[in-house]
Amino acid sequence: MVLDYSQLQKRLRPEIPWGSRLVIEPFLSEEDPASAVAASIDFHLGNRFTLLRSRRDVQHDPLSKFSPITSDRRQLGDIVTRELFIPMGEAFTIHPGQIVLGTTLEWYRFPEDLVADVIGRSIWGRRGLLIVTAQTVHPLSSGTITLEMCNLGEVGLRLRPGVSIGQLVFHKVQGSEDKQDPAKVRKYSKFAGTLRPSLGEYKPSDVESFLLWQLE
Amino acid sequence: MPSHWQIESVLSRIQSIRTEIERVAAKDHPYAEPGIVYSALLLVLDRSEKKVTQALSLYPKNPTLGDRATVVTLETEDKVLQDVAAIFNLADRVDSARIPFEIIRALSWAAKSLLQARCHTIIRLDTVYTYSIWSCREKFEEKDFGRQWRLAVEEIGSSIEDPVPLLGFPSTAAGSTLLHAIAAHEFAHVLKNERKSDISRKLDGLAISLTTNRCNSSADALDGYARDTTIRRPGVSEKEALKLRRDQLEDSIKVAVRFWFSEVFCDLVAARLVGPAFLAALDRLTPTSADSPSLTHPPISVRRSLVSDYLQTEIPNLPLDDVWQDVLRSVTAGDDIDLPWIICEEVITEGAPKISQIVNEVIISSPFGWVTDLNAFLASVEESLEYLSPPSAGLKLAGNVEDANYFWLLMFAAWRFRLTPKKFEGFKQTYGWTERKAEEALSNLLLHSLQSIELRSRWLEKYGTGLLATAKTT
Repeated sequence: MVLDYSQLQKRLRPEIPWGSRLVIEPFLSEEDPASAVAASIDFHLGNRFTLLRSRRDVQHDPLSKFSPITSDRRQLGDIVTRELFIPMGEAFTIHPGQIVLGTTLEWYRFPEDLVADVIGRSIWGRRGLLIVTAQTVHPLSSGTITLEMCNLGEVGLRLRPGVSIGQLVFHKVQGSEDKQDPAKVRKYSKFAGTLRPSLGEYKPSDVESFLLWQLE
Repeated sequence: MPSHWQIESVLSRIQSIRTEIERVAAKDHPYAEPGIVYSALLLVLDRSEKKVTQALSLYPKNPTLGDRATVVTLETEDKVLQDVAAIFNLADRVDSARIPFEIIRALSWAAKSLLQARCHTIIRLDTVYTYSIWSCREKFEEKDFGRQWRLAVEEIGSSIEDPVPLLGFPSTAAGSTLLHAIAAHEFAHVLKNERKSDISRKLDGLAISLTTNRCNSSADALDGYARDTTIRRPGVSEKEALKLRRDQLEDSIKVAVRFWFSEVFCDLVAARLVGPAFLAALDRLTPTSADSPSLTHPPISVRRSLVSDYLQTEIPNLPLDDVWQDVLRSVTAGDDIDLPWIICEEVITEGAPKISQIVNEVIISSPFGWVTDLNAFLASVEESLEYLSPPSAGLKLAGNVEDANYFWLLMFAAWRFRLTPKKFEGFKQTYGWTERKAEEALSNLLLHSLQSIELRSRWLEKYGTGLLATAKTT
């Protein structure tokens, strides 16, 4: 079930118990008729960006350090990252084919019973900008949302922190009436409480380890 | 007589420093302020280059006249180059991604309400584990580069009156937002410098009168100390040597006391803004071994004791509960302190109530007295942190300068949460974090909150009540 704007507004009130409370900070949207009928909340581009850079003789394998096979663990030159801070009022260019990690300006703290789909605004999509690949934000997630931005177009695009770049569409999780506890945030996100966009470390599950390395 | 090559070498050094400044200036600096420093330094180098080139052109024409003039020019410009290098050294690490740039605007906003002037803060990473602050304008004026500074400021259309503090964060701890509670102390230096005629005059007058009185009442002890520590140089009579040493002692005490009054003033301003959180941050920065007096700083034990007294007497509604016990604990300084330091300590202790009065006159309302219900505020912040929610989200802002009080109050509340064992342990365990990771998350929540209150307050200032404020009041 998709939550409409009035339902989301109720979730933002401070008197709502934490189990159901949605926090968005900062939340600068004005009360306007257009928002009141929408079934989503816009988010804005934050100030931190991480650029992925290639080097000579690069071979990036996020699973190599977990591999029991010695040759896989051999450390070759890996991609390196470079962080940028772009203040409000300034801009930077994302070039064709380039991938840049960014964040939302807003910090979200999700309640136990809501998930959200991260959707790019078509105004950007039509110009070739893809803003996200990991589309779902899980219950109890907390932090800024990392955006995996890629310019699929043929011309460079100027990105300005503070621009409305996408929206969240919230859904109610069925069966979430069973009490959950904040510690479950561990299960959902290793990025809880983070501010800066980072590549993150790939941690293979037991199933993945079995499929990747334990079959003859 | 300087050779042609000596003059050429000065020109080469000018070119070398210029190249380095231009290289650093071309980096991706998020904010424009470091550019003012670089532009001003380049203008100074232009001036030097002109003078040295002129000296070079005179050289073959009139060796006699050129000789004297050239020597003077070379000596002067050599000193100028050293000064340029010293200033550049303060401003060449201001673009690192490790700098929490998110805090800059919020810090400048909070400082604006304190300084009553628009403030453009530059943050640099200091390789030494310490905090520092320099006023760029003062630094340039001190080196006689005031004209170049003015030209560079005008070039970007800023006002010469706006302070541009260069705030040094310890490089290894730049990411710890909690530690930045010390910024309250550093900004007090800017406050003091900006209102020089007012605050400094009062502090200096007080320091001189109390020191003179104390030196007079301790005259016998000082005479004895001077006798014990006088080294007589050949050709100087014993009486003369003793008098010289005695005068020197009294002068040193006066110099130290003036510095100490300034530091204690800044400590008390910080205490007024962030309460004992200032001491908690100071504890992290200063190892116990550093608890000895210096010409510029009183020992930590003295500073702690003065701040503790101030908090208890001047901010009565501040809950100094068990959480702060360790931070406020009284530490006795070592016994082996020399007499001049003992006198300095006595003077600073005697002067502390008067310094408190000056602080209270400068910052009339403490954030602790401003907030309607401090306990409710603390409970709300702690609950938000426990649920990994930025504590600023629960704050009702007014959209005016008073909102900046929350900047300091959030610092205090975050430290309180960090120092409450039950709360912080619970925080760690809930999310399965190590101490380091938990503190990092706490730092992120605080940093995001500081950035958010500035944005929200300025939004409200411009557009009035927003959605969230409406929702809260209904």
